[in-house]
Amino acid sequence: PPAPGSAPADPSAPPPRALGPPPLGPVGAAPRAEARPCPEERECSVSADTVLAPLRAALDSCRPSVQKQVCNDIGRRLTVLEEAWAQGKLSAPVRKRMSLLVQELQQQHWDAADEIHRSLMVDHVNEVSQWMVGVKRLIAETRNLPDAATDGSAEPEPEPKTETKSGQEE
Amino acid sequence: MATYLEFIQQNEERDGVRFSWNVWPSSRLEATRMVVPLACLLTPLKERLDLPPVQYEPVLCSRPTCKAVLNPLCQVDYRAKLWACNFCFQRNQFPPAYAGISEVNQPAELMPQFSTIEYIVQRGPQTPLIFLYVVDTCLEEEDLQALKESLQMSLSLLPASALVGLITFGRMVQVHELSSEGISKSYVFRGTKDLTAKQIQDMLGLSRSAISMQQGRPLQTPEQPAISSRFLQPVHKIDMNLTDLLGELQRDPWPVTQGKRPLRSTGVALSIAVGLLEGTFPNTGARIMLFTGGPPTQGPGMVVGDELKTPIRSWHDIEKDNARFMKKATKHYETLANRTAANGHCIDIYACALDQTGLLEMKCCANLTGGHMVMGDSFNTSLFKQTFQRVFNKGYNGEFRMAFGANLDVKTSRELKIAGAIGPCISLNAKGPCVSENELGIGGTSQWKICSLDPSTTLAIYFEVVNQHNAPIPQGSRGAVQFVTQYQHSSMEKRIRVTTVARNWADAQSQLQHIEAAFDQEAAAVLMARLGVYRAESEEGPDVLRWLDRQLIRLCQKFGQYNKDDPNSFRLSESFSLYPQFMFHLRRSPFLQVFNNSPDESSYYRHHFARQDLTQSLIMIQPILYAYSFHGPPEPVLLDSSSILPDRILLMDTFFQIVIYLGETIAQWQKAGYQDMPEYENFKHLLQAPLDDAQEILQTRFPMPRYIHTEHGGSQARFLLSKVNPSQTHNNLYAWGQESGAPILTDDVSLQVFMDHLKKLAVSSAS
Repeated sequence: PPAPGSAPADPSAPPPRALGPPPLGPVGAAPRAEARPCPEERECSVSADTVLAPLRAALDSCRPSVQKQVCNDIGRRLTVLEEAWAQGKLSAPVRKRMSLLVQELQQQHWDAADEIHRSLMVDHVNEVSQWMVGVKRLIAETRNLPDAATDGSAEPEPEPKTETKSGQEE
Repeated sequence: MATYLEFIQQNEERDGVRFSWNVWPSSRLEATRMVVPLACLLTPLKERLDLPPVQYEPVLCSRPTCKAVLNPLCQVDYRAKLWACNFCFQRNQFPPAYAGISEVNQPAELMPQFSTIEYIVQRGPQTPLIFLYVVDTCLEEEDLQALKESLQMSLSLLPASALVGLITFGRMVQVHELSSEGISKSYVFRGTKDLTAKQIQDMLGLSRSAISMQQGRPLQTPEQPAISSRFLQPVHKIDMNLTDLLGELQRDPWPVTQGKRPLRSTGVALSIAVGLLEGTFPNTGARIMLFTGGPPTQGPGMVVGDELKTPIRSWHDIEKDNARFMKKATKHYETLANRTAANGHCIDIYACALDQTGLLEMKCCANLTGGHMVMGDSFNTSLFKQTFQRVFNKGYNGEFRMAFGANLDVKTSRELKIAGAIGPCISLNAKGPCVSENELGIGGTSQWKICSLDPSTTLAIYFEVVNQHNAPIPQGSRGAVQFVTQYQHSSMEKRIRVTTVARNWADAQSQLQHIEAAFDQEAAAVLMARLGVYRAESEEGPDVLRWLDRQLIRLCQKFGQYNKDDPNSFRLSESFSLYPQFMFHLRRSPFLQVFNNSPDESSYYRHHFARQDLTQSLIMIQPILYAYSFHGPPEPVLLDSSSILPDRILLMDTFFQIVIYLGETIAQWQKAGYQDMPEYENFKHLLQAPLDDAQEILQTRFPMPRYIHTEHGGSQARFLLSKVNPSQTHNNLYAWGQESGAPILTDDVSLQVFMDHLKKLAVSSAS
């Protein structure tokens, strides 16, 4: 926002051999969209276990009905996630959003969890690409479990997929 | 008289249609004298958040040569349950389901506010959407890593039920068999030899069994898992394995010696991709997504040899007939593009390299199928990464914006015929009473196929008035056009969007002022521009400019008010006043001026121009300029050299670039560091304001524009200086009363000179 009382620049002013300063404005003018301190940075004390434990629990609940190889694959990736976390390789926003994802998963808000996974993939692909697809799959499989409640949203419970059946044939 | 501007805007919002003329000249002879053809820009799937689709089949006229859809223009006899088709006047019986309708209980499709309406129909089994990645591995390590990550990310963005496949290429072409267990396998093809569709299908083991041939239905994974699912698997099943497979992709292992380009077999890779989909999933929505980091250098479709000392063709080479590979390569890709479009699939090209990649030869792949064309410097840039993400954007209703397999059918009342269309489509060769013999654009048909589209895709459709001069049209009668677009929604639903519009006829002799007042100069400019750019593909550049100039002069002669041979008396009414300016900028635009652009760049610009909606098209023709200064709030200013002032920041939007330009004084203040001093905080705000506005555009537009931040004297200032009207040049530096502003060193004519010439020619009794 321009200073209301500033004198307009003189268009025929001589070349800036002596460059005058810009017009002064009122000090402490209404702050423009300053970057707010990232809320995620304030709470970076999420422990790995608060995220990993519910994920492993979800995986265990999948084991009876989901193909063994898929479960092992997911498990492998959760281990990669655990190691990356322990080695401090994950940034604060990723850790924070993962804890949110896990909360949504525990409350069976499948779409919300899915949305968070997608946003992490889009914004932090180089940090998460190795293991995030395992989390994605875990959400999909957990949601399809026979006793899983439907989401609060209007999303209908997906039909048991024929692909799972053909997978069991193999 | 109500303002036509409001009328035009309301109609565009509701129907996604903008006509060049909104009151139509009632005879063929008069229509040709209007110079600008009767034509419209149509956005078939315009986003209508307030238009809930209806869940029943549209009611059609029973005449076999008509089959128009029931619409608000039809006369209805509610007692007899009959309706009269407004196109062919056939009387039709309402189907039994409509037994309960009455004047107070109308079905939606008869209500005037539903001139545009969408139907969801059940027509056969729902076929899946397919995404086939075709990936160049002849990339630098960093580039390949970035591309791999983008592809892995995209797996999370695909529709849940989609099928995915992967083909990688370099010197060889590898078709990857996707399985959820064990060793990953692939079929390897030589990149030098083209194969027919049958050969490809045989080699991949895709030959249809006799049973499925007799059934004649497209193969579907659940019933025939053995045949197609080896190469195209549902993403929710294969995501983990494909993520790993992508992660393990290596650079093409064939060594590239000094002075050579990598051997890249793009032509064969695309051929295999097209053949694979042709044999397994014809007639369902599919995207072949080609990611390439350099030109094809081997096999059919090669664009340049592998010796670096032979540069890839420039416009100069093409003009001198010195582009050895161009004709053959273009033919190869045109054949592929036509086959792909016939199968209802599309080809996207994501080309990221510092040098050209052959977009000139490959452009038909995107243009005929409606696929995307993205051009960047490297896959490791936010321009590519964010543009690619936006392919999978969803609208406000949470549904994917992309749609597939559109079939556009246009019907007209008998006084009109269809001359053709220009846009990302192919002809379906549908002959009929509506089709004119005079072609403009893709003509000879009243139906076109757009294999891939989204809510911004816009076609230009050209009409011909065929009513004879001595066959007067009844007073107050209206001509009508109906646009019926059947398509596959991203949810796999089949939908039909029907738009029916009408405009009044007027006798040009006695009512010219009504016709004039209803002229839409913005739409007319874009419609003429599309015609010009279409011509430029096959005619010499100067010829196209001459044609454009002739049309402009004729338009001014017809509609200007002037005294013969007195240029100073020349006036244009308000509805025409901006049109010459649009033509001036169009003549200078990269769509018609190929000087200073590579053939690939010209192809890229023309690709986007041929499909954007009116607002974006106008930005492309005449970029927008905003000024930021201490003198007042940010404001749009003339695209003129006089707008470049030392104490201003300019933001220019050309659609393809966002340029922020600091005036001389501003740049010096910045260098002196005033923005870091607390008492000059307002200067800091001033510097930030255009950056914030630029971000808004950068975050939403597809494709993401190039972002250029420059200042007075900077080399990149040329992006701004070449666009503004050079009203002040080194030639007229000492002319009368010229305000300040940077003189542009050019011999191009300014708008003022252009207008002076135009007026002189328009009023001349010799023309």
